[in-house]
Amino acid sequence: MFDTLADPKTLQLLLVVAIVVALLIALWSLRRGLRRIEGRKRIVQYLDGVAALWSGDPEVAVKLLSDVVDADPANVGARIAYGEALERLGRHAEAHEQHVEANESFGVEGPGIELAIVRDLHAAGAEADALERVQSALARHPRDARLLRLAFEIQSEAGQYDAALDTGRRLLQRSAGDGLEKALAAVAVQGGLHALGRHDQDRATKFFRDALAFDRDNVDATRALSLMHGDARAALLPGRLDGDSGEHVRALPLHEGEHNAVATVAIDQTGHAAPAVPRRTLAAILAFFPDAVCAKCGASRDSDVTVCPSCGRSSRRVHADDGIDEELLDVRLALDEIEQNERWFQRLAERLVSGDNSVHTTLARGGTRALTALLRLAQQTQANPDLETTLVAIGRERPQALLDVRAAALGDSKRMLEGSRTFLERASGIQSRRSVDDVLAPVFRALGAPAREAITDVLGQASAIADRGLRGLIIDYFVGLADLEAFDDLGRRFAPVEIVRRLNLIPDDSLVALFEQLPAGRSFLRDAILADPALDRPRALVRASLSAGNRDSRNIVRWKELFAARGPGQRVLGFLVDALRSLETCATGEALLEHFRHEALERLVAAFADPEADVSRLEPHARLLRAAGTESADALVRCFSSAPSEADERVIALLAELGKPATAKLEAVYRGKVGWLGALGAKRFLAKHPRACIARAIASTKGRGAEKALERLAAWESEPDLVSTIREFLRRREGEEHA
Amino acid sequence: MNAGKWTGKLSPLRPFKSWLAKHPWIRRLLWLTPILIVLALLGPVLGAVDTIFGLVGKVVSPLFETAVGRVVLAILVSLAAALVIYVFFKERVLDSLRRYALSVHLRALEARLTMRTTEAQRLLRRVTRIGRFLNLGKGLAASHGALDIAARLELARMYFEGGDPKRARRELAHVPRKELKGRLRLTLAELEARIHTASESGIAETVIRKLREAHEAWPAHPEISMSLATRLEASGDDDAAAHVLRETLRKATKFQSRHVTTALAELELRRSEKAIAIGEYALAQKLVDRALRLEESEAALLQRADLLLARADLDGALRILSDLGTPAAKARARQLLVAEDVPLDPARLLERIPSRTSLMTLAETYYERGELDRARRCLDVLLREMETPSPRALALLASIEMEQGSAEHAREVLGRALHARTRRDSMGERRSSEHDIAREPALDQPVHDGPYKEFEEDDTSR
Repeated sequence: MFDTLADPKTLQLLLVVAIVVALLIALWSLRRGLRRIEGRKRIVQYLDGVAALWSGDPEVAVKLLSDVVDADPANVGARIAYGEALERLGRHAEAHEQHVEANESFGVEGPGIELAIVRDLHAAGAEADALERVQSALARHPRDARLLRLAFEIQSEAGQYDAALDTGRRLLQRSAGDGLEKALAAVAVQGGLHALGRHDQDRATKFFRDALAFDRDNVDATRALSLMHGDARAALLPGRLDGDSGEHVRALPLHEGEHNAVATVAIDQTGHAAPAVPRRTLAAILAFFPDAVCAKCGASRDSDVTVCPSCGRSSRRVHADDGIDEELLDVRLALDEIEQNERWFQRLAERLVSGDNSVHTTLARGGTRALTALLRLAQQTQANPDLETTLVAIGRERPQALLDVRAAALGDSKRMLEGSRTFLERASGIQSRRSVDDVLAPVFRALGAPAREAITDVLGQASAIADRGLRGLIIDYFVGLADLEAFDDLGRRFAPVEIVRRLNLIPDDSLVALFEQLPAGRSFLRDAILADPALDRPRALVRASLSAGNRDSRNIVRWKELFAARGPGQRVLGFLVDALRSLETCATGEALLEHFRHEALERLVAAFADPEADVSRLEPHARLLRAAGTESADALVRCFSSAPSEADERVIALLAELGKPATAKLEAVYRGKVGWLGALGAKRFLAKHPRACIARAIASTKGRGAEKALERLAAWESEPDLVSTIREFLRRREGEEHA
Repeated sequence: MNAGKWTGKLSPLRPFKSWLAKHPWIRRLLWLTPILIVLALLGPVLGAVDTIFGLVGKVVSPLFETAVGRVVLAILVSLAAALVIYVFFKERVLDSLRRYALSVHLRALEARLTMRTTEAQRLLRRVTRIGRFLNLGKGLAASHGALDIAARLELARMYFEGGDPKRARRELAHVPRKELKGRLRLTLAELEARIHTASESGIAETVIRKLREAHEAWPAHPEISMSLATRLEASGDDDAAAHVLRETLRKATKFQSRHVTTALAELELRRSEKAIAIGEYALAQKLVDRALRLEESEAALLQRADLLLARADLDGALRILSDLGTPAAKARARQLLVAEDVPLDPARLLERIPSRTSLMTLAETYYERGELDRARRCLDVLLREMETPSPRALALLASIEMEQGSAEHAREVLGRALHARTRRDSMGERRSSEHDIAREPALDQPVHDGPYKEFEEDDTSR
C-alpha cells in the first residue's frame, strides 16, 4: 500500500482530488453563505437599524427595525434588535413580545435571550413571572454572570433574601466587584430588618453579620447590631459635641464574639454657625431611624449625594417615614399646644367645661397660664364644678400664682371698664362676666392647708389688706380651712361685722365645717360671729349643731346656749323641726328643741299635723308637744279644718294625752271663746268638723272633767248631729265606767 | 434579457452576453465565426487549424508524460480557467464574495445580539479580512456603507465595551474617515466620543477637539453633547458647554432630550453657584430661573431659596421649602432655625411650612437645646392622627422618656419604633415622594421651539 501511495501518479491523482475537494468545499460554504441571505429583505435597513441601536439612537432603530421585522419576519436578528430598541424606549411589553417570539417561534436560545426576556418582565412589573423565568434560565445556564446578577436583583426586590444572598455569593465567585459586595450587604441588611419585624433576633443577627462580612463599612448593619446587642439605655441618651469636628462619636460595644471592634455611630453636625449655647446632639439611637432613605433601595441616606452609596444607583433622597410630609390641619392649634400658651389652655378649659375630664391633669400642671385661662372662662360661664376643682388643684400647688392671676384679671376687668364709652356699654361689659372674686370665692374656700402660708403672707401686706375683694377671699379661705385657731387669728385682723357680712354670702355647705368647731365657753367664733344676730345662716347653724350634736352629745349644750343667746329664730326652729324627720338627726334635733319647744310650737304642730308626714317619724314631735302642755292644745286644735284630714286622728289622740289641763281649753275653743277676744266675750264659732274633732278629743280624755265638759257641750250644742255624737260619746264613757 | 425559467440568473449565457455587449469587436468576430467556418470548408483553412491544433498537441503531449509536465499543465489549465472566469465572470464572482461577506456580517450581528461575543468577534474579523481583498462598499448593502468598515466599527465597540479601549482605538485607526457616510459616520462619531471620553490619558484639548468633531457629525446625540459639555465645563468654558447642550436640544427628539434637559439644567445650576460665590446674585438668579424653566429639580429650587435668603426674603425661601417638602428642604429649614443670624422662630417655621416635617425639625431642635417638654409636645402633635406612626419620632420620644427617668416607658416606646421601622422595611415599600419635583419635560411640547430661543437672546456673558 505504501508503494502504491508513493507512486507519483497516485500522488498526483490525490493532489488533484484534494484540490477539487477544496474547491468544492469553498464553493459549498460560499453557496451556504449566499443561501443565508437569500430571501432577506430590507438588509440595509436592518444594518442601519442595528447600528442606530448600538450607537444610542433607539428611536431611529425602532422605526427601521419595525419595517424589517414586518417585511422579513424570519430575520431573527432584526427581531431581537427591535426588542432591544423597544426596551430602551421603555416599551417593555412590546419588547417582551418580540423576544419571546424570537425564542419560541424561531428557536433562539441561550443566556442572552433569556436575559432579555427576564429583563422585559421585570421592567414591566411582572415580578412573579420574571422570578420564575430567571430561575428556570439559571437552571439551564447556571454560570452566566449576567443572569446571576439579574436573578440577584429580582430576588432581593421580591424579598427572597436568602435566595438573593445565595445567588449573590455565586455571582461573587464568578465576578467580584466593589459594587456587588455593597449590594449584597444592603440586601443582607434588608433581610435582617425583615427578620426583626418578625421578632426573630437570631436570624436578624445572622443577616447583619453577613452584611458586615460583605461590607465592613455598612452603617445600617453596624447600627442594627449595636442596637440589638449594645446598651439600649446608653443609645437612648444624648451625646456631647466632640471637639472641632463637630461629629458625635458614641461607642457602642457590639456583641461579644467575632466583631470585637467598637462600632461607632457618627451623627452629623447641624447648623451653620456655632451656637452660643452648648448644644447636645441627638441620641445615638436615632441613627438607626434615618430621616431620609434612598428612593430606590431604601437604605439610609444621610448626605445629599446623587449616587446612593448602598446600591450605587443614581437616586433621590426621600423621607424615610410615610406621612411625615403631610400638611398639618391646624397650625395655630399645634403651635398653641407646643408652646402651651393661654390660648391653648383656654381651649382645654372649654373642653373641661363641656365635660371632657381628661384635660384636668394637663390643666392642673399648667401653672399660671392655665390659671389665667381657667379664670377667664369661669368668669364667662356659670359656675362649673370641674373648673373649680381644677382651679383648686392649681391653687393648692401655687397659691401665690392664684393671687397674681387674680390681680391681673382685676386689671383686665378695669381696663375693659375704662375702655368702654358709655355707661350702658360699661354695664353690658361687666354684666356678661362674673366678677373675679365671685369665681374665686369657692376656690379659696377649698384651698386648704397648702395655701396657708401664702395667705398668711398676704395678710401681712398692707396693700393686700386694703383690697376689699381680697379681704373677702381671705375670709373665705379661713372659713374653708375650718381651723379654729386660724379663725381666731383672723378675728384679730378683721372686724367681726365684716366677717359676718361675708359669711352671709357663703353657701351653707361651706360654713358647716367651721361652725361645727364651736368650742365650749367663750370664743371669737361663738361670741363675735355665731351669736351675732346679723348672721343670717340658719340652715348652716342648724346643720352644724346637728352634726356637732351627733358627734358628741356634750355639744348639744353649747348649741343650746348659742341659740338661746342669739335667739333661735323661726328659721332655725323650722330647720330643727325638719331635722326631727330624719333618723340621723332626730335625737339631736329633739334635744335642741326641748329648750325651744314653746318657740317652736307652731312649727311642731304644723309638722305633726302635716297630712303627708311619715307617721313613724312623728314621735319626737309628739313628745315635744306633750311637754309643752296646754299651750300646744291651743295650736293643735287649730289644725282641724272644715274637712276631714289624715292627721285628725293623731291630733285628737295627742289632745287626749294632754289630759285635764287641755280639756278646758278645748271646751272653750269648742264654744268659740278663742284668744283675747274670746276672753272679752267675743265668740268665733268653729265649723262642724272641728267641733266634732274637739268633741272626740274630749271624749278620749280620761277623767271626770272631760265627762262634764261633754255634758256641757251636749247641752250647748245646737247642731243635732253633733248633739247625738256627743251623747253617744257620753253613753260610751258610761258604758266603759260600768264595765 | 430573458433567461430561461430553469436557469434564471444562473444562465451561462447571461454574463457572456453582457460581456459581449461591452466588447463590440469580439461580437463582430463572433459574427464572423460562421463565415470563417464556412471558409473552413476550404481545406487550407481547416488544414491551418489542424496544423495549429497539431502544434498545440505536440507541445502539450510531452507534458502528460512527466509528473512535472502534468503539474505545469494543471497550472496552465487552472490559469486558463481563472482567466476565463475573470474575463467572463469577474463581477459575478465578486458579487458572490460580497454577498458571502454580507452573510458573515449578518451572522456576526446575530451572534452579537444573542450575546455570543466571541463568535461575533471572530466573524467580524473575517469580514475585515475579506474587506482587504474586496471592495465591500458595493453590493446589496452598498447604501449602508462598506461592510469591512462597519465590521471594524462594531469590533471597536465590542472591544471598548469589553474593557479594552486600546484595541478599540486600534480598530478605529484603520477606518478611513473621508469615505464614510450615513449611519457609519454617525457610528464612528459616537464611538470616538465614547472612547476619548473614557480615556484617562491624553491632552484635554485633544479630547475636546475629538468630541467637537463627533458633535458636529452628530449634533443630536445626547451622550456626545453631554460628554463635550462636561469637558468644556471642566476646561472653564461654561458658556460653550451650555451652547452645545442647547444646540442638541434644538435638534434632538423628545426621547433624546430628556437627559440633555437635565444636564443643561444642572449646568445652569452649577453656573449659578459660581455666580453666587463671586457675589453676582442677579446673574445667579437668571441662571437659576433658566434651570427651573428647563426642569424643576430639587437642587434648583433649593438654590432659588438660597438666593431669596441672600436677598433677605425669608418668607419666599420658606415658601419654596414648604412646596418642596423633601428631606433636603427639611435639612435646610433646620439650618435656618438654628442659625443665629436668621430671624426664624418655631412659630414662623410652622406657619410657613405647615407640615409634620417641621414638627420633627422643631422636636429635634428643642431636644438639642435641652427643652425636652417642648420636644415631647412637638412629637405628641406629630404622632397624633398619623396612620403609621413615624419610627424616628417614636425613637426620639423614647430618648426623651429615658432622659426624664421613665426607663420602662422608654423601652416600650422604643419597641414600638422598632416595630414600625421593621414593618415598614419588611413590606418592601419603596418611597415615592408626593413632591416629585424631578419632572420630565412634557412630551407633548415641542422641544425645538419655545424656551430655548430665549437663551439665544440672553446675554450670558458676564
